[in-house]
Amino acid sequence: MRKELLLKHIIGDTSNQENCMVDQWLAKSADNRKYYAELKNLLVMETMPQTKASAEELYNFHTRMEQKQERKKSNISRQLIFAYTTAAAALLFAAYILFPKSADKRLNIEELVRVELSDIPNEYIHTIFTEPGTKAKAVLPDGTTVLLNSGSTISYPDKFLGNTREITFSGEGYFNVVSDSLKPMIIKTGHNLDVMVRGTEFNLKTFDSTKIETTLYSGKITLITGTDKKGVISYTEVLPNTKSYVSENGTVQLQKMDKMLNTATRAWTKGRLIFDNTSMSQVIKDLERWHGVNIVVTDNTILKYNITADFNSESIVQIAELIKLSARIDYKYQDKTLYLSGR
Amino acid sequence: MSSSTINKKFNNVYCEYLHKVRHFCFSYIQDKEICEDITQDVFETLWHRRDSVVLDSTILPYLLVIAKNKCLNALAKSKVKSKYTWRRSNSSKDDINAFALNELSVSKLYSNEIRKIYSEALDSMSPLVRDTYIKIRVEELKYKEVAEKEGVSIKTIERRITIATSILRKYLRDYIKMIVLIITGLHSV
Repeated sequence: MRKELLLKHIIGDTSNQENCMVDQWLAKSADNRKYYAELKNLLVMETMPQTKASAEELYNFHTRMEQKQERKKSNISRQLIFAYTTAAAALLFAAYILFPKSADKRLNIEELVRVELSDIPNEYIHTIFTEPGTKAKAVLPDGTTVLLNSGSTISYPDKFLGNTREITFSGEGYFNVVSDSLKPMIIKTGHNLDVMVRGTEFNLKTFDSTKIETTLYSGKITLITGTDKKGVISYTEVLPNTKSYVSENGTVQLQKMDKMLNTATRAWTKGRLIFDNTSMSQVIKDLERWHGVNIVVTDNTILKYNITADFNSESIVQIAELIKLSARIDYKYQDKTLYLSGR
Repeated sequence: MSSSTINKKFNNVYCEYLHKVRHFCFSYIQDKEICEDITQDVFETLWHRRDSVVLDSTILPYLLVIAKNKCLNALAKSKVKSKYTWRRSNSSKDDINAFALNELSVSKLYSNEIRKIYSEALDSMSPLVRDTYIKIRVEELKYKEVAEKEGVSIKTIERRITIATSILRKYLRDYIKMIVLIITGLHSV
C-alpha cells in the first residue's frame, strides 16, 4: 500500500474507490491497522495548529461556565428547600398514600433510543395525504391503523427502528394503535405537542394549531408539551373518555366526555358529520374540507348563526338546502363553489 | 496561589491550547458539533480541576489524554446509534479512528510532546553547540575524540555541552520532573 494513499485517506481526501481499497487493506492484518494508526497519530501531532484562541472564544467559555454555575446554585437551593419541607411532607404522608398517582414522576423518554423520521432517508418514508373531499386508511408497519379525514397527512417509516415508533401527523385522524408496552408510538404534530401512546384508540385533530384536540376512548396517552431549558419534559397523562385541548403555548385543558360528545367526535369515521351548536365559520371550514368545495360568504350576517345538525351522506347541495330551510340563509352552487348569502 | 493567578494561568492555557485540542478531536471525530462539544468539555474538566493541576506547558498531553477518552466514548456511542439507523457510511472510518486513539497511550502523548520540545531546543542551539551535543550525547563519542576531530580543546567541548544542557533544561523545565521516566525511550526513535 502506498504511503501517499494512506496519508490522503487520513486527511480525508480520498475517493470512494480509494476508501474501499484502504478499508480492505486495513481489514487484512493487525499490522496494517497498527501502521495506519501510527501514521495517523504522528500526522495529528505534527499538524498541531500554532494559532491561539481569540478573546471572543475565551469570553464565550467563561459565560458558559457562569451560566452552568448559576443553574447549579439554583439546584442546590432547591435541595435546601426540599430538606426543610421534608418535615412538612411527613404531615402529608396520609394524603400521599391515598393518592399515590399524584407523585411527581419524570418522563423517562430520554432513556429511549429514538430514531426520528428526520434521521431516516426520504426513500424509506411513506406519506399519505388526503385531498379535501376524500378520506383514507393508513396501515402502519406495526399493524396500527389510522383513518385519515379530509385534508390530513401522515408520514411513517417502512420499518420502526429503535425503542419508539415515530410518525408525524397533521389534520384529523382516528388512531387504533397496536399495543406494545416496550415500544411507545410518538406522534409529532409539528406544533407544541407530541403524543406518546402505547396502545389505544383515540382521535387527533390538529387543524387549529391554537387548539389541538385529542379524544381518548381507551388506554392511555401522554401529551408532551415541550421541554424546558433544563431538559425537563412537561407532559400530561390523559385517561379514557377525556377530551383534551392543547393551546399554542402548551397549556392543556381536559374535559370529561359525555355520550353525545363521544359520538360527535367519532362520527366522521362512520361517514357522519355532526355539528352541535357549532359556529357558522367552523361549519364552513368543515364542509369545505369534507366535500372538497369552496364556500364563499357574501353576507357576513350569516356568520352569527350556530348550527346543530347530523349529516350522513347528503351532498353539499342537500346540506345547503337543509341550512336554507332552518335559517335565513340562501345559497347558490356553481363550479364547485357554494355561495351563501342572507335572505 | 491566589485564585486570580490561577484563573489567569487557566486563561493562558485555554488560549494557547484550545485550537490544538480542537484539532486533535476533529482528527478522530468526524461530526463537527460533537467535536466542538468534546473540546469545550475538556476545558470544563480542566476548569474544575484548576486548583489541583499544574498549569504549565506540560498541560497539553494532559488535555489530550482527557480528549482521547472523551473521543473514544463518543465513537462508542455513535457505534451503538448507527446500529439503529441507516447511516453506516462513516463506521469503518470511526473504527480505525478508535483503534488509532487506543494506540495513543499516555506515555506516547507525553513523549511526543517532549520530543517536539526537544527538537525545538536543538533547533535553537548554534550549529557548533548542537553538533557537539549530538556527537557526545547521542552518538556517545568521547570528549577527547570529538576535540581532536574538530581541532579544539576538551575545555571548549565541555563548555558547549554545558550551554546545550542549560538550553535543554530551559526548554524542558516543566517536564524535568517526569523526564526521568520517559527519556530512556527518547533517543531510540
